[in-house]
Amino acid sequence: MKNNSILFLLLTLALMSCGSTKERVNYEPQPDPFPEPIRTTTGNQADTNSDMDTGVSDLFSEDDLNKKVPLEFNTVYFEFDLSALTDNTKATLVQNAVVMQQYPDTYIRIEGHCDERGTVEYNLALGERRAISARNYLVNFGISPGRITIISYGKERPLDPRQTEGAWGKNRRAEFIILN
Amino acid sequence: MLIDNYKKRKIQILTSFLLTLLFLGNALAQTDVYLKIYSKTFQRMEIDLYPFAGGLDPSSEVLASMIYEVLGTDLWRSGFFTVNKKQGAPPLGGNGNGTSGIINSRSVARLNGGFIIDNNTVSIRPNLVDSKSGRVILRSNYTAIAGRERNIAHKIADEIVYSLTGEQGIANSRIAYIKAVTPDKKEIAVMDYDGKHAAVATKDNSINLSPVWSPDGKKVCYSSYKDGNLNIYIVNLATQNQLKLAAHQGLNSAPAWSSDGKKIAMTLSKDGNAEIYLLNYETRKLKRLTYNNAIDSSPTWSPSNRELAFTSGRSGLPQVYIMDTEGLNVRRLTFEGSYNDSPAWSPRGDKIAYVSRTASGFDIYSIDVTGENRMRLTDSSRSNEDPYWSPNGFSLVFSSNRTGKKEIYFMFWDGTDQKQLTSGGGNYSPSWSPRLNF
Repeated sequence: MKNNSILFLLLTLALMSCGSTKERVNYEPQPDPFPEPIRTTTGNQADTNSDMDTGVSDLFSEDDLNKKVPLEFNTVYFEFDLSALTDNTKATLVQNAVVMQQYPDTYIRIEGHCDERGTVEYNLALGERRAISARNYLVNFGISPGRITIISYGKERPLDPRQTEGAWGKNRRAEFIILN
Repeated sequence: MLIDNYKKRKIQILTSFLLTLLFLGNALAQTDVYLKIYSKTFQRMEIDLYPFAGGLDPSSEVLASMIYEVLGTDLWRSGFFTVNKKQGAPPLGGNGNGTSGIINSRSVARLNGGFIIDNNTVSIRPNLVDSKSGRVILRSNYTAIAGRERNIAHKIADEIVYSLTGEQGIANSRIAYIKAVTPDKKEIAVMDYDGKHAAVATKDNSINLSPVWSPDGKKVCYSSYKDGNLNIYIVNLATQNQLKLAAHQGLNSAPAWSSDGKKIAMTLSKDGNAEIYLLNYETRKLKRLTYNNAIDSSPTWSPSNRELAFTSGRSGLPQVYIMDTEGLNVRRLTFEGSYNDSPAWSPRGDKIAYVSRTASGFDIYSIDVTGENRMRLTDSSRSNEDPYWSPNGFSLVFSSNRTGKKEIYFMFWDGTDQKQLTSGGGNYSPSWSPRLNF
């Protein structure tokens, strides 16, 4: 856990420091409304971004990457009615990407969720977009899309059923489930 | 007299409607505009209801009070009648022989009747008499096996509505909805339109969503995670037989069955984003209707099956749009409010109900298909969602958490008379069946 927070700090710093450089563009899915891959109308959207396979190694030193991290993923959170990634979300996704790199046999399912506001059907689509945003970010880091499946539960599985801003914030999330 | 006035008004409206059609020609004919009965000048007809006479034993008294209550409620909820609940027998020989003097100059008809309980069957005999002329309008014998008395009373109410208005009643209809048995177990449930006879209809042990009726009223189409992915299924309510209708990669959600039974509109994300498709129920061929980077979802059919209303996020936040069944002639319907979703097209054709986000929560609105006459139908500090029209377009069901629990409510088209139909919480996504023949 201690390792984890050090890594988090490192990665956050790294992410922030590269924010002013042009390279940053390479590592970010396009901003809202929604990343390019989704516009493709043929087949699965996961097979895109082959030109973005530079991976994390350009961002972090060998030492950073070689530090063994535990096989665990952190949930990422979203803003109301948005599937765009916030800076906090991106920082967490970088951590999750490192875990994926260090455990190359791990397959995951990203589950997209929403808060209870809005309809069942619209939130199903929104939850899927959140899961896709998170997946695309990992894929941009060089994680094979074949290791990631996605599903949306819309607003059907809230972590916190209360009707408060705090509860809604917790429920607007993408969870990472280890499949094997 | 009032019937005559009513009919006269109907003819007048129809005439002006036809003239309007003539002038506006094809453009208007292609949208679904029907006779407007949602007029402010529309007045309910009065009907005098007397208790039905049977035996004096306890079971007869129970039956008598059931008939009285069901007929009173059904006639009121039809949207056409104000019911004067009378006691005792109708005066002046009105009981049975149909000859009588004027009892209430304002009421159009007088309803009484009798019933016979005979072993396993119950016979109910309504006697509907024109108040003015004393002429018998409806006098029939309705027999049911014990346990179906309530359905027979509903059937009688519908016959009365039909004989006095020419409109089909809604009392013999049911409502399918989601019942959250536990947070992770949401089954399809079905109840009578008045909330009675509620029962869970599936045993999927999964999260089921978005039930809609087949046009024949025998099946329910819905989404479920029971096989892992969110797929679309059809369940036959009588046989419990299930059919997997759509199981593409990604979302298979928001089914909407056309009233001719031929097509099911749905939201699929198999091509990478939530888009609306039409599935031909016979051939199982898919046709994609929307091509937009934003979310497109929640299709609802016009009664002519020529157009669909749907939700799209293409302008940023969700709004309601209309398109034809080729995916063409798309126009935005809602402009007021930043978040409008969950459209439901009235079976009369001229109105679409939808949900709008307000400062305090979510409320149900209706708007004409022309974009005019936006009306707020609910006004509570919490969420009022999932509007769905009754088969005659005079009333709606919806879900609300106004009590702290999610329950299903009835209301008239103008938002009046909101009545809770379910209890126990976790009840939502109502879908009103077509008229059923029991």
